[in-house]
Amino acid sequence: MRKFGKILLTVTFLQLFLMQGCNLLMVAVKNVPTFFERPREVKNKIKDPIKPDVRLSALWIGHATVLLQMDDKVIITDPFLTETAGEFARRVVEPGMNAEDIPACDVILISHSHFDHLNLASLEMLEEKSSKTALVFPKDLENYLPDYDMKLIRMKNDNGYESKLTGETKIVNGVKITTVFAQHWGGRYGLDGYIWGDKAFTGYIIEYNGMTIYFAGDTGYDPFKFKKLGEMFRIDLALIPIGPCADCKQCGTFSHVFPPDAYMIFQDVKASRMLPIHYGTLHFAQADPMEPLYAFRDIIRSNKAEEMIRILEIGEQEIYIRK
Amino acid sequence: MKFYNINIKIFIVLLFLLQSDYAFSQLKDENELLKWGSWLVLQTLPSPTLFDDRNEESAKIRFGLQWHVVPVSYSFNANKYVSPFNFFFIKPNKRFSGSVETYFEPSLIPGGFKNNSLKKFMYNAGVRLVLPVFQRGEYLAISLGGGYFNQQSADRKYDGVTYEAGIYSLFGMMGLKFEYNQNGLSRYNIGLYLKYY
Repeated sequence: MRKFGKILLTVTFLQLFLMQGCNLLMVAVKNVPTFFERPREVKNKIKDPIKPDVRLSALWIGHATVLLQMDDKVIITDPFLTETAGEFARRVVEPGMNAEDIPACDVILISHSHFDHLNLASLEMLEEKSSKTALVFPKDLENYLPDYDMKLIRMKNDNGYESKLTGETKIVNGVKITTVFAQHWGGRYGLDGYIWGDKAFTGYIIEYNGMTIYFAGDTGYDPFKFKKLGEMFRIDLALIPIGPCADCKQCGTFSHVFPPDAYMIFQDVKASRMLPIHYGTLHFAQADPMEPLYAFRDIIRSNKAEEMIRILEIGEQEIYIRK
Repeated sequence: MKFYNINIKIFIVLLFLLQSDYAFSQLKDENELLKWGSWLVLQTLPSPTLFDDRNEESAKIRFGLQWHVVPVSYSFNANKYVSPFNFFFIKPNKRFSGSVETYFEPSLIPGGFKNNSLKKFMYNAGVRLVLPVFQRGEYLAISLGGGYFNQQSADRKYDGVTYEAGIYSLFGMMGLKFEYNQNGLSRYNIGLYLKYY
């Protein structure tokens, strides 16, 4: 009876760690050193990112969080402004902007329900700024979202893009938002995404005053679908993840692109500019957080794409179009 | 003993099946059988709990197992797209971002009580309030509750009011819970709280 208890206890603990999303145990182990050191400081943080003479700009706050200005509209993607994501993954670099300096946003876009993209405390920080802000998210994500004093807008994603490339188009606070194909998985607590088939994930096309931004969210590569997206939209700026990667010189997995196929997405969607995201912020299990960038720099160099792809430091802003 | 060994093997096989390549293949279509089957398996995971074993002269601690069932939950923080009422299968964030819920907690003390004649099986049932502390309760939440406890010996029933307090982390999947049973022979119980959905 005592032996039974011990085995049950061991298996219970093992299972609790194994069933977490994104191999939490590995992430936790890899993140142990980060809990003994402070996240690297970002110097000279921008305090006034929205400028009257700018039509299109992007400020990389870190990971998949980008503050976008499209004329008079302010949009933020996957806001992650806290020190940890999902308790175990701690930032290696602090956010590129202080939360208090982030202006009231017109639109907050959430690509999926994983901890590094849907950060409940960060939404709370943005909620305080304006109740007119619209929080846009894909279908199924409402199950992981508490209520906020914002306009909550759920958008269809063709049930995980089963057959279509786009989910739905809505005008949100004057900005045209379209949910578009992404190849990822939903869920938040492990099994719900892995085997229960939750499909809370999407990419977005953002259109305003003749400018178009593509936010890929978190995605794997598909040789046909991104080309089709490139035919459907004339994209000025693409925010495409380049990590996390195990062997960053190889193509990615079903649900994550690595640098080579991130570049392929950029080519397929025929964007004028690209901002690489989703690296350098969190210590995922697979590789050093900066590893994707080293591999991606080689790709940019060998393709002579320096003009189109600008690597930003966390906290750095790029102005793409001036008035 | 043989019965338990076979059960352990089945249990371990089931758990590892959930971790197999098939499980990680990110199913395109929802498989209801797999979903509910795996959820049911996870509900069988007990929480290790220490039970007070007392008589008028002395008190000892006994190791036991407790299961946590939440039949109904009302979430204070449900958004407009979801119902605030949930039954049995409840997303952790709905419970731990602030809710009031009913609970039923059967307990088993495999080695039995030695200081008193209580049976190996007992149960609590009641209502608890769950309050978020950090990250809308995903990082830290607390609970306070009360209800009815039932303990039985061979010749009589000990039942009455029970109070409980809990603290939860890891998205509400792991916590520590303390119970005080009025008029019981096993009054103070403290244990881990393990529950996936």
